[in-house]
Amino acid sequence: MPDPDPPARPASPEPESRADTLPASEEPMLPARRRLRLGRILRLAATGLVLACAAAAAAFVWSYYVTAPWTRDGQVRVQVASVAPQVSGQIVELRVTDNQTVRKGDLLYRIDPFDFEVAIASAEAEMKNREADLQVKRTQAQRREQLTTLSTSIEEKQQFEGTAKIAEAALDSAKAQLAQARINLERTQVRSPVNGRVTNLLLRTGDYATKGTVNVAVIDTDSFWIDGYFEETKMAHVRVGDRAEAVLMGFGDIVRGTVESITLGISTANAAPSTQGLPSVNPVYTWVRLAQRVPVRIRIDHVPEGVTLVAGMTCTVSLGEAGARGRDWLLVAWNRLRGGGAAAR
Amino acid sequence: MRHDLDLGGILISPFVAYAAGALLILVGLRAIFARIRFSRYVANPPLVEAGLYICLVALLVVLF
Amino acid sequence: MSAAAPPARIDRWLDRIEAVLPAPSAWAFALRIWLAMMLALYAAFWLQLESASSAAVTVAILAQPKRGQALSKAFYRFAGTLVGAALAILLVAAFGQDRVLLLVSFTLWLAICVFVANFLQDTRAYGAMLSGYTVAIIAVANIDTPQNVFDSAISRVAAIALGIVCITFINDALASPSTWRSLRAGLSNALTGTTAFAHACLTKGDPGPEAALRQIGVIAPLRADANAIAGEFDDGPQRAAGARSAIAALYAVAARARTFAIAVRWRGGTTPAIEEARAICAGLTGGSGRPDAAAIAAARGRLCALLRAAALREEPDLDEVVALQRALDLARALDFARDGFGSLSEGYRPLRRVSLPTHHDVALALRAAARIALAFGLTCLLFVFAGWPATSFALVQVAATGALSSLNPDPRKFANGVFLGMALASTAAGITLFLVLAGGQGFPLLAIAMAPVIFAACFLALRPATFGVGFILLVFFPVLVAPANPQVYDLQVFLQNALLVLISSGILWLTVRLVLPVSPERARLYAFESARRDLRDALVGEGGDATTRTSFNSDRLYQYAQANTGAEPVRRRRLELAFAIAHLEASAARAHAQLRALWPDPRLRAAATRARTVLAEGPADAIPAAARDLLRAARGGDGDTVLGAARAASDLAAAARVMERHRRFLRRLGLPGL
Repeated sequence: MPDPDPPARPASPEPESRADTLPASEEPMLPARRRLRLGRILRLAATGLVLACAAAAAAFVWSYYVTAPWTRDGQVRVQVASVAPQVSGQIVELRVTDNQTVRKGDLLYRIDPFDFEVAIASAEAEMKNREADLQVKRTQAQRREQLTTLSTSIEEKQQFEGTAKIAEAALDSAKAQLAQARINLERTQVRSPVNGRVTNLLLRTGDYATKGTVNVAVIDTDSFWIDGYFEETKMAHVRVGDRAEAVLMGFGDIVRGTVESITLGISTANAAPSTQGLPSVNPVYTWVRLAQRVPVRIRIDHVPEGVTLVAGMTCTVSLGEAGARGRDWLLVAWNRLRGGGAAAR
Repeated sequence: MRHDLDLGGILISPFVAYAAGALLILVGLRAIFARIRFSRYVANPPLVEAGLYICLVALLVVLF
Repeated sequence: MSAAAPPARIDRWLDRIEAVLPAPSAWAFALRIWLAMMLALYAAFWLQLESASSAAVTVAILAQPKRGQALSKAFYRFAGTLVGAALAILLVAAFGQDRVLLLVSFTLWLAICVFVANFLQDTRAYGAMLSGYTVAIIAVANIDTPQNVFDSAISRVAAIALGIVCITFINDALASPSTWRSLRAGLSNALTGTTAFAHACLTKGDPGPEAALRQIGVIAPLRADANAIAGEFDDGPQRAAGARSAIAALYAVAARARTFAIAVRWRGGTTPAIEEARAICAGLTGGSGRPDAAAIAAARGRLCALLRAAALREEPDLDEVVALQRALDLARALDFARDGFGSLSEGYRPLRRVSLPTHHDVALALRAAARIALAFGLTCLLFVFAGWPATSFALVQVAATGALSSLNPDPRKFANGVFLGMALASTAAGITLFLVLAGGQGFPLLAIAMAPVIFAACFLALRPATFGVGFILLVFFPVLVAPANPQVYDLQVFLQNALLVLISSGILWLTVRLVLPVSPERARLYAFESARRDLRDALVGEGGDATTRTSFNSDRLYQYAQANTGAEPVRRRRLELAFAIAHLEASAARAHAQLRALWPDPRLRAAATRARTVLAEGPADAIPAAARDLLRAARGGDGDTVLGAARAASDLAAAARVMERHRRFLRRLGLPGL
């Protein structure tokens, strides 16, 4: 048969009917009724207990996510040395490749030195010329100096003395030019200003390096730091010197650090100067005010093994010890409860 | 745990994982509740379930 | 006379006002929806979600007065959105460069979703359809910026999850009425009504097909709620199974009581045994209509004894066996109804787990799918040639409302509601944005400005007559206000969106009337054809389980009756034949199942095989003889064998009687045995 025959089951009275048949409250209480009342009180108490727990849990989650100083919006930052040659010229030798580690003072590339050697040679020649000239002028002046005013005039003496001084100054100038020419020759060898890594190298031997134009970027590997963009609502909990932990996206280990400084200003759209230098203010109809984000600079104290910091990496930054906030919060709540209890007593 | 969940290159906030995990646990708990006739012990079962869910989320946040 | 008139007029006015004024429960419902919507909006703003307004729209769509319905709808909405979002990303990834292919593949997907949705029930159908138009919301809306499709999908899923969380918490916290309580009330009424119907059948004779149909109409609407309570509580699945078992039992009670009356009529008179069975059943169904378990057990024991005695007679009276068997079935169904109702109330495990399949027409589903595909394709063409800007917004609305309409039992009425609702929503949104808010800011202001429209929409949605208008107003008001943080007050954009929304509702209005409409004749034809196929299967022994068949047949009859138009005698005749087909099918399916169960008994084997052959291949005249042989063969067996044989014989006899009575009609159906 498709359906089994139902076995006899005692008909269960409906819950309401049970409640309706209770005696009036004035009558002496029957044990069954007392049990029923106790059951109702217990059920209400259980519900209340769960709801109280839920309220505490919700407060905890709220404080954890909304006021606790942590942010998913953190970035690894770094300083980049932008190297530009101080002299112009064709690059004759490139001594680095892309992403090569360099020490401070390592040669990056060499500019064709010929022009600068020529400049030194001509400056030296010019100096010798000036030296000779000075010697001649000095001798002439000395000779005039020893003559009496009968054979020469005072005027002539002064003239020759002046000429010698001019020649001396010309020599000084020639010396300075020589020094400049020597330095320029040195400057054909472009060196790394920092310890770091050459990045995004787009130079080839034979390229023309123009004076003052950046052509090599060296990332300063000693300068990594982390910027955490904290909502302004969380800034009350951010202090300089706080311990910070950052978890890089894709890495499990924690990068430890310290809050170094807090940025004191972010730009506001309404302050942009417009016609006549007056600020242009746009009407913005917001239903809910949203928190701005303030950069907080975190000095990196310890990078775990196997983590290679790359500027621009995203990370989650939290201030304070890991898990300490949960404990702190519970502790504070507990103390408050005890304090409240003590006050009541 | 502050690590983002990595699902085939899509990184998901841990809170989403906590919320989903708590939901799964709640579904599991419901089966047990049905067995012990849990609704007899509380006055307002839906509200208690919602409350339990919040507690579960908080628990996951604290533990992981 | 004139002195009595003024109070009467005042009373009339008071009545009218009271009819219009919303009930306190409606206020509570509207308050819940408003709170949930504002909570969702605020949270979405605070979380800086891209499409904050779709969190509010989610709340509007999930606005159900009962908790279980909202939960069930929420689950399928989330699932549907996930599937749709995944597919949207896939489609855009595949056809990002070619918008024609994208639109074609999307149209195909929408059609598939609508087709599948037509085969699912209630909130499941909604989920399937939603996964169709979510693709529109994500992929088509980003058709010009395919690179944003992933972000758009993520933010939509996030907004929907947020909306679901908000309405669930508000429903929990503000003690939204639970579905099972209202279902218990409804089931209790249906139980009372059905037992009264059964009592009438037993004491006054067959009340006719219309009365039986009315009874089915009372039972059928409970089905959706029965599925919805599964997620409501920890013991919800058991309560839901109990409710389903009770509903299946109610269908059975109505059918058995009527077939008892018909069997008595066939016989032309009663016997003492029938009179006693009738008295027993009338006793069970009379009074409050809630016999307790002991009474039912006693009645079943006595009915079994009567049936056994009737089956063991020297020359068995088949009609008497049929009547007694139906009486026993009635008592059994009453027992299941009692058990199922108890399970729904108390949450214990019911005696049986049944499903309540409903009737779905493949042809109707195909037409619905083709309609939405054609409508969407033509609209795409229209907009491409018209060259309007920002028409993807309108395309999304066409896809969404078209998909929604395909699930509605009366798409035309729904389309009217959509048109009216869209017009109302545009007006209300315009007034709210540019007259009430007018450049205001601050969340409380927004919440207060949106409240009147949301309350009005909730009140409208609660009245069955204005449900469509209210629902559309509730959903499209936040769509058109499009609260964003910061808010953009752009009259031109708003007017354009309002116009596009109206155009898309106009397209829907035309579509349901012009593109592959389903006339009542056609709907009848489809239902009839499916019934004929099932009858053919049942006669050759492929009928399936009797309990689910009863539920399925009742649903088909109910749907058939909705398409049953025409003059009164014609309608009546059609209904009578439909009931006859259902009766024959159920009898044949049960007879085959019963005979199959008798097969292991070597004494009955020959008779059972012969009976099955006769039932499957005819001739119909030989069926009663086969049934008698079966009873004779069972004579030496134990009690259960006799009862089993009696059951099989009763179904064989009932099938033979129906065939005999409607011979001319059945012969036209091209069935093998006739």
